[in-house]
Parts: sequence; C-alpha cells; structure tokens
Amino acid sequence: MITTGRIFDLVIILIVFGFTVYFIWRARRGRVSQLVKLPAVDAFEEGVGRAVEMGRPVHYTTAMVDIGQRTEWVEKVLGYYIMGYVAQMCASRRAQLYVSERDALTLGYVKETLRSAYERAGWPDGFNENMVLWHPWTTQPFALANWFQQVKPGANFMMGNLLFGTVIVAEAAALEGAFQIAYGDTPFLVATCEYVMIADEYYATSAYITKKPLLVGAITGNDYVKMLLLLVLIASVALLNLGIKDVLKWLAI
Amino acid sequence: MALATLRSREIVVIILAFCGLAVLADYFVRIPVLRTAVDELKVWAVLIAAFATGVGFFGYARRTIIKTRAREPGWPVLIYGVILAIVMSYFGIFYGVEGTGYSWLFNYVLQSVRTATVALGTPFIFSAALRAFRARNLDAVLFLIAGVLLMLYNAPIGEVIWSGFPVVGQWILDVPQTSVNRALMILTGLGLAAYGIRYIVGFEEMAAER
Repeated sequence: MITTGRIFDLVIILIVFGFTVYFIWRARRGRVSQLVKLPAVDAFEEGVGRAVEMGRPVHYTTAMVDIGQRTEWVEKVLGYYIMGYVAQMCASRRAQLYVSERDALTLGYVKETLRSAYERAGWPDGFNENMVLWHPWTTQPFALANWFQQVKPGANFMMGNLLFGTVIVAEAAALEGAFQIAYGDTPFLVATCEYVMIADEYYATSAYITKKPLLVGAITGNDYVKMLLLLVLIASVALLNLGIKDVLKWLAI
Repeated sequence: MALATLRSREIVVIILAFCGLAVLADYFVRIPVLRTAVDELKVWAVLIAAFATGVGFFGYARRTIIKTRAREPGWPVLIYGVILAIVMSYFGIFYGVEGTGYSWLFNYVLQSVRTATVALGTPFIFSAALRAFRARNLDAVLFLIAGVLLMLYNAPIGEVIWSGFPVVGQWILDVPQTSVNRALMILTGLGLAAYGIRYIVGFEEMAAER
C-alpha cells in the first residue's frame, strides 16, 4: 500500500509530525523552550529605523518564484508572513514600504496586507497602490536595480531566493547604501548584506517574531528531529565503514 | 451570521488541512479513491490559477486605462504590455502553444529578450566580487583565497600557471563546499518540511490575520 522507495521519507515526516505535536502539547502546559537569538530578525527594527532617520523608503521582496511552484511555495508563503510583520513595523514608524512581486496571482494579497497594516497603524494615507511593484518573470532583478538607483531605499529586505537575480538585486541595493537583510543564495548575500539568515533559521522566523507557545513548541520539536537525524547519519556512516552496505538499502526503502 | 461563519478562520484551516493532508498522503500511499480525489483537486488548482490569471489581466488592463487617461509616467509601456498580452493570448488560444505563431513569439522574441536581459547582470557580479574580495578580516581573507583558487580552477590560464590549480579547485568543490552545502540542504529541507506541516495543519497564521 505504501509506495516503494518512500517508506523512509514517510517515517521522517511522521517523526517530524509526532515531535511537533508532542512539543506543542508540552508548550501548552507551560513548558515553553527559550529560542536562541536570531540577529537577522532582530535587525529588521534597525533597518526600518535607519530608513526612517534617512527619510527613505523600505523595500521588501519575496522569493522570485511563482506561488504554484512545487517546493518554493513554502519559502514564498513565509516571505509573505514576514512581509506582514515588516509592514506593521514600517506603518507604525511612518515609513513607506515598497514590495516588489513577480507573481501576478498574489498581487492582490500583497496589496491588501499592506493596506491593512497601514490602516491598523492609524496611517491609512501612508498606503498607495504604487507601493506594490509588479515585476513579472525574469524582469524583477533589472527593474529593481533601476528602481534602487532612482528611489535609493534606506533598507532592503529579501526574504526568499531570487535565483540568478540575487547578486543583481543585493549589489544594486548595496551600491545605494541600503541596509540589507536577506535569505536565499547565501554566498552572494554574505558578500553584500548586513545580515543573512541561513538554512532553517528562516523557517523559525514566525515563531521568533510571535513567541507564541504553539509555534515555539513546534520549533523545539523540529530541533529534536534534527538531533535524531544527526544520530541516524552518524550511525549510517559508522555501519557503512564497518562494511554493512545494507544501510543504503534501508535508507532507500 | 451565516456569511461570518463561512468566512471564519476555522473553515479555511479545515479546508486547507484536508487538501494538504490528502495530497501529502497520496505521495506516500497508493489508494485509488484518494488518487482520484487528489487528481480532481489538482484540476481545481489549475482552474483557480487560470481564473486568477484572467482576473489579473483585467486588473492590469483597468489600471492601464486609468493611468493612460491620467497620462501618468510610463503609460505607453502599459499599453504596450496590454497589446503584447492580447497578441500572445490570441496565438495561444486559437492556434495552441505548439502553433507556429506562439512558438515563434516565445522562442525568437521572449527568449531572446530574456537572454539579453540576463546578460545585463554581469557588471553587478563584477561589482559584488570586488566587494567580497576585500580582505578586511580573517573570514574575508578565507573567502578571498577560496575565490581566487576557484577562479584559477575555472579559467584555462590557471592550469598553464600551475598544474595543481585544477586539483586544488576540484578538492574545494568536492570536500568543503559539498559537505557544508549538504549540511545546509539537510537543515533547510527539514525546516521546510516542518514549516509545511505546521502550515498545512493550520498552526501558522497568515500575515494578514495577525
């Protein structure tokens, strides 16, 4: 009944699910773990503050993929979540937030998120429709490079992989002196940005921002799965070196 | 009252969790009924996306009319965009995406423009490399050494200068780069899977609802 070659994957997913549910239950009973500091997430405030002091706008973009693409949608959806957080921060500090979006399907969502953030902060006039920049397909990096030269944003946040555009967007913003926080193609970003999120730091952002026991519990569960997988890796390498080649078969069942 | 109930967050989460878990389960187990239901869901997804694209086009056209009437900056480009969208849609709908007209537009206009545009990124890569290769601290020095060695590995002149450059370059790619990259990939994959599960079962909030 279970598809051949996917049993191990299923076991991993079930373990992730089990640990997540257990640690959420534990957190709801008051045993909430402490999250380590994520300097890149803390620095959003610094970036927005800097833009406000300089009297310049803030720019934000999510991954350069369409929402329907297979695995990248998760990265994109989380990018929108962080966008909501940044939008509230910008609106409450009277900073203009420009969001560039490549996917036509989600333009409306981006617009409404921004509008709602500015209305809730008591500054509805701070929002206008031109703050959502539509850059379809591969035009985004070049359009943004041009936009950066004209507008000179005080801060630039790139939450998601911009693929080949990573270096173009990050470098164009760096040339204009923008404060940058990014997640994506790490080597290029390290060369150009003030703060870079790596690996699963990005996926812990929502828990770190909200500090809600439910999400913090889920992150704790995830960390235990990481330790478990590390043990599986070490054991597999040890068994392979002891000449037990069947390990590869077990991992591929 | 009824509308408020229908629009409540719980309903959305239940639909999302049902669809997400069904598609996830279909990947792992073979149940004919489930497969049929998931195939149907995928068709719905395509239909919704197609409908949203249509709505997007009309939104774009509406905005073009408003901006053109007001003679806002860039209005001719917006009109150009609408004309191109109509021409591409005409060939795609009436002659199919395999038809000569659509293929010609795609291969000889769109792809050519795309390739030319991507080439414009070169100066930014040079500029970023210059920024990255400033030896300000130990990390930057290591970055610089690895970068220079890899450049000499990739450029034919590297082998002419010293036959060991390809060996060193290949070692950097195979050992430090691959091992660190795989560690990051495993962590990212795990974080992604965990976030996906949290999202599917409704633990994560949407940004607009906070």
